Amino acid sequence: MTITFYNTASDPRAVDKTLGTSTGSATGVLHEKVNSINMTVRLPGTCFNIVTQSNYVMLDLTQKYYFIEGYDVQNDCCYINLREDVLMSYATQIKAMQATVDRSASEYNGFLYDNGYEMLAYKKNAVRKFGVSLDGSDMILTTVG
Amino acid sequence: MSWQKGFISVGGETEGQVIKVTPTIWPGYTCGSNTYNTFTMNDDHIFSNFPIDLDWSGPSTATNKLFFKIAKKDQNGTVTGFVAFRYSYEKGVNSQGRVFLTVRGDLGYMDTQGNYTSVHGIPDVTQSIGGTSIYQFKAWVHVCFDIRNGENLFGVAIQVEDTVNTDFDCKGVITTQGFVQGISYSEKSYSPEFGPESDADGYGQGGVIGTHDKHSDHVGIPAKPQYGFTSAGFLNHYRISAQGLSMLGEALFPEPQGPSLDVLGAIDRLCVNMYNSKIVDYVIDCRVIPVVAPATNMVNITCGGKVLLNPNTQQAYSAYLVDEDYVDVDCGVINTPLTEGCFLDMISKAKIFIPFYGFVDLAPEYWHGAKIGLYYRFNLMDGSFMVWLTSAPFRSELESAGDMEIIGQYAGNACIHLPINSQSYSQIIGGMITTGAAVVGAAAAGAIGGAAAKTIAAGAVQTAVSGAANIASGRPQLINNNSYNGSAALMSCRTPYLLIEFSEAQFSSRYVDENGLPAIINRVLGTMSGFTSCVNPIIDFACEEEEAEEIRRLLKSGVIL
Repeated sequence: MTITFYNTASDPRAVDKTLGTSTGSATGVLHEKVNSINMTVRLPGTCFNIVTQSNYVMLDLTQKYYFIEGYDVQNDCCYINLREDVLMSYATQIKAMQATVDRSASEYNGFLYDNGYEMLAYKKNAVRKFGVSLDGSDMILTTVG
Repeated sequence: MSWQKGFISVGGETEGQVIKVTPTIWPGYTCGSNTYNTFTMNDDHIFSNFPIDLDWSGPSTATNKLFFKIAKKDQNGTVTGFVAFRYSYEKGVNSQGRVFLTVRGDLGYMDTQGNYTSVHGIPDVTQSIGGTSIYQFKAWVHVCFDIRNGENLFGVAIQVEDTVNTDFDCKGVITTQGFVQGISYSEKSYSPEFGPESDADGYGQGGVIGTHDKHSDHVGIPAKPQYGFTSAGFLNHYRISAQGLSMLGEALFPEPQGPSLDVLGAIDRLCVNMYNSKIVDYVIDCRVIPVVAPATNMVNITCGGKVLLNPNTQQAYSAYLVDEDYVDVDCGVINTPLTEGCFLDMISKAKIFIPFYGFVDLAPEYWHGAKIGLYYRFNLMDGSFMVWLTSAPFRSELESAGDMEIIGQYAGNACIHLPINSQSYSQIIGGMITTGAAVVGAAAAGAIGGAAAKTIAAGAVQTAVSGAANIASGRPQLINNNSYNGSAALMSCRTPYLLIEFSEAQFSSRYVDENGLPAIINRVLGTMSGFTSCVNPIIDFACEEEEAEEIRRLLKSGVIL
């Protein structure tokens, strides 16, 4: 299978990652599949330089994206440990999802309590005066007749 | 350009203030035309707020144009057009060498291909922004929709900031406001400054669990009572000065001795004293009140049917006759905008000091982001008062209508009764402190001996007027609602005020970007941007179980969209 290498600077939590120019490509074989997400791919040892300059790959076989979690060279072969970037691989589906958002940088309600704030230990006081005071004064005498 | 859904409220001279929409702000702009397209504004529409960097380093006549727009979507969420605002900016230098910025704009609508149709004339707002060497600006265009009883208002604020001369701050100097006919709002509203409220179709809404009727009836300050002592006409109420009261004592109890008096004259005055010792029974009360009594007609003072005369000149004593039983004092309002712009405002504490009553705790929802008022009504006949605490949230229908809601009403008594009649002596004698008791003792004697009575009348008045310090606890009438008594209340602060204890938060300027802010909203994730986390997302597309679990975990912990 063909492996395309990238060196992305995007946050791993980003759904859409900026991949930039490919750092190279190589042909490899699946060496070990731990589970649906984690696998090891074997490459020719000549790919070592590409691997060291990359942190991200796309496999044409699965049409999915993977983080390079580590690599090793043995017997003139290069082994890279990959962990699927499910966010990028399923970006289209994720963005089409409906979900209840509980925190957001784009839409939020400031009046919901947020435990992330750090409160100042001291509080500040202020006085707001009304414009009219009861400064008047009068004396009233009441009589009968 | 980025689109942001939310409600932008910027206007006036200070960022964060709500634009006060006045339809006549734009010169030459007339309402009432039927040429406007009608759009239904609801939560499917997008309010835009985006910064635009304008480079004014070119010729002074440089013109730049921009659009900002509110998307109109159909039921499927497809954008079908825009309510659009088109603006051009022109920079120039006036005859005084001051740089000015001219903003011209008009309102129209735009189809999805960007074809713009103007639907009203071009207003021209020119504002000097000061300075002589300003070549670069950063300008923001804000649009504010003001949901007020379906009045279909919007405001536009142009916020300009000098990007070169950092000492020049002209944020919010240019504000245009307008009125759009034909835009109506759904029941759904937005928290004015802080983003949309939670979805209205959630738990407990729509009649599934139950409906909550949130409408609020208006309860305002009542009218004055129809009847009172003055309307009864049985008693006479005179507005009298301290000097007048002193002279009155002289009239009631003339001095029986003097170089010009012969024996018969002295006997005559003693007889007057004895007679007046009964006349004083017709003096019902004399009191100090903390307001000016309305009185227009000067009349002779009568007591027991007798016109009181100066014993020397035989001229009648006169005073103003009090016209009304009740006097209203409107202490005005305090505007208290939100300070932190988040839930912290709702955990701030406040007490309001109500003169003659004391401190009253006030819940934040009544004063923060609202105006509060204080309104007194004094009963001049017995010194009682009712004070109403009123409130109207900013941007509410109530405020728009110029009304305020009563959120508290308190009663008390705010006068000092002066011991010049025989009845009051017996009432207060038990509570008199030493000084007062001495005075009252003299008063009792004065009922028989005129000179002493005169002393007590004048002395008591002077004491009360000067603060009534000496017979404080003996004053019998002030109802003590907050550890006050009559004299203390008159001596205490007589300016109502709000004492606020603000809660303040410390957080990084990157807090929102890195953590987001709380939101409980149902959204298609593709419409969100930046940090986003979900409560318990349902993965409803085909993938392997481990992938689904990983996606769910990441969405719960937060992703960047």
